[in-house]
Amino acid sequence: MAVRRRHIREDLAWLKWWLILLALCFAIAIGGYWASIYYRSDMRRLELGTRSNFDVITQEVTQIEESERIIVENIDRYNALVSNRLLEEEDRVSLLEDIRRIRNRFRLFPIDVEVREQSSRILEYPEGIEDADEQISVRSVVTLRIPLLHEEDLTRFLGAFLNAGRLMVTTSCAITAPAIDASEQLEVVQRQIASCEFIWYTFRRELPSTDEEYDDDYYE
Amino acid sequence: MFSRLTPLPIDPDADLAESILVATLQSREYLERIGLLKSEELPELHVVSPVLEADAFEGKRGNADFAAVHHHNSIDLMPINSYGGPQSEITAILLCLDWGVHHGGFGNIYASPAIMRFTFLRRQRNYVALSCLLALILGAVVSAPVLNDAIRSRANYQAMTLDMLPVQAQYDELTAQFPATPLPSEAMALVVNNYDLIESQNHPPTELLSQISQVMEQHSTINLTSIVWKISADEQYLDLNDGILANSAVIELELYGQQFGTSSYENADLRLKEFIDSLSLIEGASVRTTSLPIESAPDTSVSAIVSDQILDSEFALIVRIDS
Repeated sequence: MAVRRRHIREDLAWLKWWLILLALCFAIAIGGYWASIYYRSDMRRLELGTRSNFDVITQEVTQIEESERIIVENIDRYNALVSNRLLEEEDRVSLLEDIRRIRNRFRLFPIDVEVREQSSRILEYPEGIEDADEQISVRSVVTLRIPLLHEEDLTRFLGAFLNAGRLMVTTSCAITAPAIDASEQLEVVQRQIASCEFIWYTFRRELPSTDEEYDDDYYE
Repeated sequence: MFSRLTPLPIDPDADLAESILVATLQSREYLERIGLLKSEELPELHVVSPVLEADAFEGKRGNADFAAVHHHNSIDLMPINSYGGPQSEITAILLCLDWGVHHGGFGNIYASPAIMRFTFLRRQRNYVALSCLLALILGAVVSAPVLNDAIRSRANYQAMTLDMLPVQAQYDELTAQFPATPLPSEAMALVVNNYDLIESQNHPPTELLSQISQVMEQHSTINLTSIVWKISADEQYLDLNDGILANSAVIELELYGQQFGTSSYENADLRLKEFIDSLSLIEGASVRTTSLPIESAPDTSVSAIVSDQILDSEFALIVRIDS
């Protein structure tokens, strides 16, 4: 038995380097396989990352070109709107001053003016545009009561008033002829009264607010 | 080789070839008898010896019992470098031994394990070496497709990197040249488009009022007491502003007036109809009556005082302009 054990030890010693070589070969094979997998995953990550970057850049180039096209198409008109103060806060003093100037120019009767409080509405972007800043149209209802000597007064007033650079949409205009005495037929008195109502539009840019409570209250 | 009991001639002058044929025939018969050789076809006989000539078997007894008899000189069959002894010793037995040593791989089944120890060790070493080779081959076979994928991905990555260069340059150029704008292009387009939309709904009342004045000049008996010009939206919009922003605002004109200077009901009705027809000639206009001087429809009740007085009848119309 002792001889046999000795032989086994000697045999193992004799085969030691071969067994080490075998272990080394297995290590090389398994290590090579894992290295290949690691290398492949690394390359795939690079490939996917590059593909993603490529798509992103291509998309951004397309977006920039599209944005450039939109800006080229609209910048002049946008600047005109800015110069007409359509993107500023309503200047109600300026409105009253314009009405005063028009009245003096056409020698009209005193005009009753009422500008109601503002209300807002969020403009809707076309489909496909996301995460854009909110644009709000702000409107105020302006009511004018204009006594007229004759219809031409209204025509001249509206011609001047609606071409003052504001975005003013006429929503109603009622002309009534009050009864006048026969003694007033030859006098310069108001023979008709025009009651006109307009919506005065301006635009405002709203950056997203972090205060949800404020937002909820604001648009109600 | 023959059996050890095969009688071979001792006399040098004896016919060795014939003795070989006779002994071979005996062996053949024995093999046929025990079933190791089939007797349907004649076998070929190959004789290896260093002393006989190729024609030594011709015409000998027993030659006809073989399909062919071939003689091979054992001296010619032994490689020159394999044996250093005299050529006379190169017999068939020596050839057989040489083949067995160098190529045969005969196992020593009689030796004890102690004696065969190193043979086993060598065999185990060979197995280990073979396992090494197999492990490497297996590793290479398994890794090859993975490496192939990796190389393809790398090639794609490099190709895309090259393709991306001009796009990146274009992106940088566009970014550098992009005009400075106070707000994003989408917002700018939104503002301008909404401005256009609202502006397109802005109809000055004076245009339609002017057309109404022209109609009034043609009908001297019609006197308007009140005119209401307004824009209205479809019923689906609760707010007029929604209708404006949806580009669905239409103009409506309410005309209130009276007809005077006539004493005939028929004339009054006829003149009002003529006035309505004239209003209908305005582009896009459709006229609807809301109040007539005399409600003469069959489904309404009519009451009037018929006397000598001149009629002074009131009416109300709605003119709708569809653009």
